[in-house]
This record gives sequence, structure tokens and C-alpha cells, in this order.
Amino acid sequence: MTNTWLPLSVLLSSLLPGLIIFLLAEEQRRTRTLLNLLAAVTKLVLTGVMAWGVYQGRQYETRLTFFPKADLVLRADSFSLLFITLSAVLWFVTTIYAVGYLEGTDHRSRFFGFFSLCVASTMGIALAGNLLTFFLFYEMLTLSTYPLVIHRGTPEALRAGNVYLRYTLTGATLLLAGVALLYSLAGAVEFTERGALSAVAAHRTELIVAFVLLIGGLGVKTALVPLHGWLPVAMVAPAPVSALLHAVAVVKAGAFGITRIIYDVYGVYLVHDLGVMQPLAMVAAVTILYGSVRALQQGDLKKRLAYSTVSQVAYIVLGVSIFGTASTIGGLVHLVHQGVMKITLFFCAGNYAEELHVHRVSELRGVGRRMPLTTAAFTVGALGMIGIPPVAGFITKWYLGIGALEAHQPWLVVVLLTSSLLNAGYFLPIVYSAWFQAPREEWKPSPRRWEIGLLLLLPTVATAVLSLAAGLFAGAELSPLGWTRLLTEREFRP
Amino acid sequence: MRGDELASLAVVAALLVPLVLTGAVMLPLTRRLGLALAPWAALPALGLGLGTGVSVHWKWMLLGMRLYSPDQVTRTYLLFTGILWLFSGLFARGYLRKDTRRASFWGFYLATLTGNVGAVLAWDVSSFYLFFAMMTFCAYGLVVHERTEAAARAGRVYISMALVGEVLLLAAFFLLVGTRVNLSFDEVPRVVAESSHRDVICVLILVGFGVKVGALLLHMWLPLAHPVAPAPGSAVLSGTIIKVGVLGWLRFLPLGHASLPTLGTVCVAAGLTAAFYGVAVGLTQREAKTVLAYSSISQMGFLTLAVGLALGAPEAAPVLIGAVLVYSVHHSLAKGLLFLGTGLLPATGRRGWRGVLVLVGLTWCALEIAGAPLTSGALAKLSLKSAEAAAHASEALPTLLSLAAVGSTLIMARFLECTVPKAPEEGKAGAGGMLLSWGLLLAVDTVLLFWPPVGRDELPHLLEPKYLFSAAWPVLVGGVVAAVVWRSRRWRTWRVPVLPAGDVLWLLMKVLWPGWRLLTTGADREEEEKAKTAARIQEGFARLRRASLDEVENAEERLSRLSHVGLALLLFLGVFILLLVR
Repeated sequence: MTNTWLPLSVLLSSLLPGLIIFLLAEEQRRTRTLLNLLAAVTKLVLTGVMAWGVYQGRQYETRLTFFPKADLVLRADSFSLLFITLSAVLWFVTTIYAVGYLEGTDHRSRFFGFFSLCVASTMGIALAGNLLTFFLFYEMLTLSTYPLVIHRGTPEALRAGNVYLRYTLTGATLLLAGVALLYSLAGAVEFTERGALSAVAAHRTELIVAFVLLIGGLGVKTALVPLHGWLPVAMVAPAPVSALLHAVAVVKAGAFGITRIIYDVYGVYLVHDLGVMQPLAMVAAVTILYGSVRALQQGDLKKRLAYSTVSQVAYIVLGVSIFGTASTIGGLVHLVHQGVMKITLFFCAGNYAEELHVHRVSELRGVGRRMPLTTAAFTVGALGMIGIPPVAGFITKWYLGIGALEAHQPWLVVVLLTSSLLNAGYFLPIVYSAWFQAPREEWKPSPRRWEIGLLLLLPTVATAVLSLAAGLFAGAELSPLGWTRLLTEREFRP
Repeated sequence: MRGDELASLAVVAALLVPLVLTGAVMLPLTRRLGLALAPWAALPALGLGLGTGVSVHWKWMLLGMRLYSPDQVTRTYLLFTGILWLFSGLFARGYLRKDTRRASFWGFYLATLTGNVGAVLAWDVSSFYLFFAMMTFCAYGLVVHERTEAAARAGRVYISMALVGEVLLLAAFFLLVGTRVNLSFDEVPRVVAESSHRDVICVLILVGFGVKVGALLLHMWLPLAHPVAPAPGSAVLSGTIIKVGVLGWLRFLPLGHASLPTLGTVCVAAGLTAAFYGVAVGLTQREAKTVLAYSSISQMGFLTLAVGLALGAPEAAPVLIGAVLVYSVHHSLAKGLLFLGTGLLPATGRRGWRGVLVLVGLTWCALEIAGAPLTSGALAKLSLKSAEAAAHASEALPTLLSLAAVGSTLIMARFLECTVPKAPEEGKAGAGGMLLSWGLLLAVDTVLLFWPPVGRDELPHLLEPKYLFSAAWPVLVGGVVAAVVWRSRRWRTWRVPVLPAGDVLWLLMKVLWPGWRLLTTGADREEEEKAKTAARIQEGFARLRRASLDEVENAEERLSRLSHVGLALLLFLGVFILLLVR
């Protein structure tokens, strides 16, 4: 039995509120917040229902005719659900965080409107059932995040927005070219488990060119070196935006796209056969190391986190571009793990900036005493990024390492472990000075009962707990790892 | 059935009690209660070591967590780990009575305890790594507890080396578990022995855990970290935490399943070298706890040697593992007592009955470490020697071990020389609790000599004249040498050259530090450093200005003196006339 309305309503649950919010006046704070939260909760519930259904083997598909021979397809498979669940959960917490963060600032209707559109596009990307649908929502994401990046309206923000657009539109062009090439070759390509291109597998050159174009286009949002330049610049955006950008929306959309291309368009066996996996793995490896080294050199906390994202998202790409189950599991599960951990770190950076006006790493001395819960959350996130158990990042690293050896590529283990050391090099000094060094001058005590407003504190703590739980209970069937294992087994079933 | 449930509850309690107390100490609301119960946190672990638990398997935890196996290694480790943590905890209650960062210490102490007990209980690779990492990272808090610059530096060295060790271990684990993702310890030795990467895995395991053990050239963190930690912290660091490194070797190396003679020989050589090297460098140290740390390095050399022998001779592996356990129990308690003693002596003073009691106790422990007859050290050395014989080790080995025992005696003498004279004559009030827990630990240590958890078969041999002699002569020789040196230093003031604690580290840092600076160019340096440089430059300018101004002023002043003016005038006149005449 196929359910046709659920995928569409998941999409609409953030699209419609977004459109309504644009119409609200700036002062209608309560209505706006209510609408936001209502939408977020609705989406959570719908996602939950859908996840349960897919787990039980039900089908969910919405098909609309866009133009002849090209349908818009929204379909929920287990991979889209991985991404949707992540987005729905993190969107919920980020909405709460954003409400608290932007309290008393201007243009909030505009902000939350685009914020919802951005999430709607992410949902579209996750649910897209073919390349065309994917492309449409992918570009909608670019256009709806631009206003968020330049939200502050400062010259720096505008410049960042400029850079962002230049990068992503170039990427879009490449992507479109790739999509067009595949269309001319194989018609409307639907995402299918184990690939949809086996019929045209003989056209090796065209397939390789299309692959390079597609990955090149997607690589911009994924921030693969050398296409990563926009990401560290875009961190001028307000903290909730950076959080969403780094954890769910933009970079993840790219990584998700790459995974779709490899597994559901080409099929992992075909990609392996074409010989394009190894080069992609190398690009990912270079990105991992480059991002980590650059992160070491940043004095600005958010910039350091941004370069860390460059490095960490490449873990996902690395995982999916090594041939084998373990590495695939590692890559896919990192989609979730990196999201939860990185959003925690950005929330913390936001909390420091908001409460203490601290932006630089060197100013964090002794901050643990003033903001213990935030700093504890930061510590969890940082340890997770390094890959220390039981935080989620450890599970990723474990599977990636095993996968690299399974594919007889021990050099990748060296890359992974070096990156861990570099991660420790840029995260542990922060943790050290936050907890163990005396503050330069005593912090102003908090005027509230808690170290910072609850709207900012609770999301931070919640995502930190999630990062811990995802690792600690990885063996459970419904953990991100359990879900990914299920998914990967299907992909590699002979 | 009920017995089984109770037993599995005991396993869970050993782990959860310290964990829950960690949380209790951290939360302000429950802190008082947490602090009151914290010293007792190791009791469940000790209880489990005395009794028997059952294996627990939680599929949903991490990558499938398995805990506890009723084998000899687990039970022995639980026993001495529980004892030392328990009495160190009780000691710490008095030791930290006036410490303002008490809560922080206890938080890290309890978390480290959880990690330590967990590492002993873990029965699968990933859980072991979890607890091992937890122990490693939380012990950092103990190292930097004093918040001094020296503590910070020691902490940096500790954590950097630990990270390198962990990374090597991870590589080994990846190679080991392969596509099975996780392995139970029942299978590990066999899998390693049959693996096509056997040698690589073994090297990675040896080096990775070697960092924790403080094996040769991986030892640099020990002499830095031990002295800066509070006494109870150093006691558990040296007593149990470094033993977890040895546990790692026992768990992961294919001892008894494969023969690796080359690697075994390397370990034997490294162990012997460490035994002498630790003594040599330790003798040059001034700080009592640093001397003890070097003694630990030297003692761990013996364990490295035993493991090396077991690698080379699979048939003797069970005996050698037994000897390692005997040695671990002995060293753990004796070294723990010594470290706690360095914290106790300043409190009790060296006069009065309490001082005498502590001095006698310390001397006894020192004799134990030296391996004097009828001590736990003699038993440990005896089991080691008989195990060597079973492994058909080189004939020279017993002699070398006896020579090393001379070294142990010397370093213990050096320790006493560093400790006793520095202690105050009179003690402070309130040392009673510390003295009591220390005395009890000493009593337990002595009881364990008569009723050891392992190596009971060797016990009767201790009284045989042959062994009495072989244990006695190194201590006598060492004692005489120490006495002679001590006397001669009274006549002539010659000093021992001082090597910086951490010895080869400082050479290494000359290479590593500039590299690190280069890698992190652009990041904010410690601002103070920047400010210091700026201040120095400013000061330089000021000095330059002052100097030049002073110079001018001085010249002016000199000029203004009449006689000089006259002289100058005469000169001027002379030159003028000369010019005219020409």
C-alpha cells in the first residue's frame, strides 16, 4: 500500500508556515513563535509516523507532473528518513534556539520566513525521488539561505553573501550540466536502490564526465577542498543560522546529494567499476587534513568550527567513497552524528557570544565557571569530534577505520588518525582553558537563575545529550547506527 | 537464579556507583552527599574482586557491551584496584580537607575510578577502549589539579602522549576487529594470533599501551605528571592506572597462542634497559615524588620483560602472566603507600609516635620495592624468576635482575633521603584520618603477603635459605653503597648532577615545539605571551631612551665642570692657533 499524502505534508509543514510568517507583522511575536513551534512539532510527528511506516515496510510517494516526461517525485525511503529525522529534530531545537537568540532584534519575520523555507527545501532534498526534483529543491535551498547569511546586513555579511552566491551558483551550473547529461543519456533517472544506470553502463566516458560534473556541483555545498572557500566566510551569519547551515541544511545537502548519486543513481558497483571512487576518496582525504590544519590556525571560535566542518563533512564523503559496507555505514551515520555534534558546538559558540560577547578562542579562559552547562555541552561536542568514546563521533571513526582496512586502503586509516590528533589539537586547548584556566577578569554574574536564558540553554544541552546518546546506545536497533546498518545491508545485498 | 541476579547486580554496581557519585559531586544540589560518600566509591569494585560476578551482555550499549569474566586476571586486578582506590579515597578525604577545589578533584577522581574499573571489567574491544579513554582523559584532571604552570605543562605532556597512544591503539583495534566490528576478549588472542597482520597489531598494542605503562622512551609523562598531582592522585596513577596498560597487554597480545621471539626479545631488552635507566635518572632527581615516578618506570621494566618473555615462549605464558599479576599487586600497593606517605609525612611530622610509625612504614614499603627478604617484593621477584626459568630465558637474566634490585634499593634510599629531612619536625592537627587510612592500607598490604590473591604456591619458598640469600644480597649491597655515598657527602659537598624530569622529552621538544608553532601560525597565542613580548620591546625602548638621554646629560654635566671647560678651551685654542700658524 502506498501512501501519497504524507511526503507532501512533511514538505508543506514547513513551507506553509514559512509563507504565513512572511505575512505577519514584526510585532506579532507570539503568533510567530507559536506558528514556528507548531510547525516544528507537526513535522516531528509526521516524520515519526513515516519513519515507523518505512520501518514496517510501507511505501510513501507523492508524484506530480512537472512537465511531460518529467515528474516531481517525493518519496520516503530509509535513506531519506535518516536525513529527514535529523532535520526535523534539529530544526525543532534550532527554532527554539533562534527564538531566544533573536529576541529583540529586527526583521524577525523575514528571518523566520526564510528559515522555514530553508527547512522546507531540505525536506524536499531529502524526499526527492529523482534528480530533477533534487535539483529544484537544491537550488531553492541556495536562494532561501542567502537572506539568512546576510541577515545582519553589515558590509561583512553582504560580502559573505556575495561569496556564498558566487560559489553556490557556479556549483548549480555544474550540477545542472551533469543532470542534463544524464537525462540525455538515460532519461528521467529515478533514485533506485543499487543504482538506475545499469542499462547505459556501456557509455563509460559520458558517465564519468557526468559524475565529475555532479560531484563538482555538489562538492561546493559539501565544501570539498578546493571548493570550500565560502564556508568559513559565511560564519558571519547569526549563530542559529550557522548551526543549521553546518549541521543540517547546506553542507549536509551536498553530502546527501553525493551519497544519492553514488548509491541510488549510479549504484555503488558501477561507480566502483568506473574507477571514480578512489579519486573522490583522495579529495575527501585531502579535505579532511586541510580542514583540520586550517582549523588549528583560527583564532575566531566560529571560524575554527567552520574549518572543522570542512574536515568533518569530508568524513561522510570519504565513507561513501570507499567500497565496502563498514565504511558506508560510517559515512552515512556521520551524516547524523556530525549534525548533532556540530550543532551543539555552534549553539555553544552562540551562547558565549550572546552572553559574554566572547568570540575568540583566547577569550574563553575560565568560561567553564561562569557557564558550566554550555561548556559541558561544548566539551561533549569537542570530544565527539575528536572521536573519543562514548560520544557519537567515535562510532563513525570506528566504522570508517574498519572500512578503510576492509577496502585495503590503510593510508586512509593514517589520514583518519592524523585528523583525530589534529582535531584534538584545536579542540582540547579550548576545553582546557575553559575549565582549568582562571578568567582574565571575573565574569559578570548572570542576572537570571541559569547561566543564560533557557531558550538558549535547553537546545544546547539537548543536542549534547543526543550526541552522547547516539554513541552510547549505538547498539540499539533504532539508533542512527542501527538504522544505517539496516540501510546499508539493503544497498549491498547482492 | 537469585544468586545470578545478585552477581550481575554486583558487576553493575562496581561500575555505576562511582559513576553516579561523579554526577552527584558535580551537581551543586547533591554535592554534599556526593562528597560524603565519594571516598567509599571503590567498595563495590573491591567486593566484586573478593566475590564472583557473572558476565553481563548489553547489546544496545555502544557496539554491544560485555562486562566481567571470572578469570584470574580480572579478579586480581579488581582486588588491588579496589583496595588502592578505596584507601586513597579515604586518605584523600583528610588530604583535601582544606582544598578549595575539592569538588573538582573528587569529580575527576571518581570519573577516573569509573574508567579504571570499567577497563578491568570490559570484556569486549570497544568497551575496553571506552573505559580506557575515560580513565585517561579524566586522570588529566588529577594531573592539573594544582593549576600551577608546572601542572599545566605536565598535563600537556600527559595528554599529548596519551593521545598518540590512543591513536596507535585505535589502529591496532581496526586491524584486529575487522568486519566483525567488535570482538569479545574470549576471541581476541586467537584472532590476533591468526591474523595476517599479527606482527603489526602486536607492535601497535605494545607501543600504544606502552605509553600508559611508561615503557622505555614512552615514559616521559610519568616523572612530570606524578609529582604535580595531589598525593592520592599520584598513588592511583602509579598504583593502578599504569597497570591498566599492562592489563591491555595481557588482554590483547596473543600470549600463549603465538610465538613472537623477535618482538619478545625487543621487549625483554627494553624492559631491562628501563629497569636500569629508570634508576640511573631517578637517582639524579631532587623531588621525592619524581624519584618514585622513576622507580615506577624501572619497576614497570620488569613487567615489560615478563610480557616479552611470554611473547617469545607461549608454553610459559600462563606462569608468566601469574608472575605479572603477583608483581602488579605488590607494586600497586607498595607504590601507592609510598606516594601517599609523601603526602602524609608533612602532616604527621617526623617526631613523635606518629612520625615514627610513618617512617617505619615508609621504610618497610621501600624494602618491599627493593625486594628485601620476606616482603611482598621478594615474593614478586621470586615468582618472576621461577617463571623465567619456565620460559628458558637466558642464564644471565637472574643476575641482571639481582643487579636491578641493587638499583631499586639505591633509588629507594634516594627517595628516603629526599623525603625525610624535608619533613617538618612537628606535625599538624587533623592528620588522624589520613594516618588511619594509610595504616589500614599498610595492614592490608601486609596481610596480602600471607594471603596473596595469586602466587600462593611460591609462598613457602620465601623461607628457603637459597632464596633468602638471593633476595638479601642486592638489598645489602644497595644499602651499603647508599650509606657510603651518604657518609662521603657529609665530608665533601659533591652534588649529584640534575637531569630535568622527563629527561629525553626536552630533546624531543626542541624538534616538536617549533613544528607545532608553525602548524598553528595565525591562531591566537596566549595573549600574555604577546603582551610579555610587547612589554619587553617597550622596556627595551625605554632603556635605550634612558641610556641615550643619560649619556647626553652626563656629557653635559661633565662639560659644565669648570676644569673641563678650561681644558676644552685650551684644546680649542691650541687647534685654532695651529691652524693659523700653518
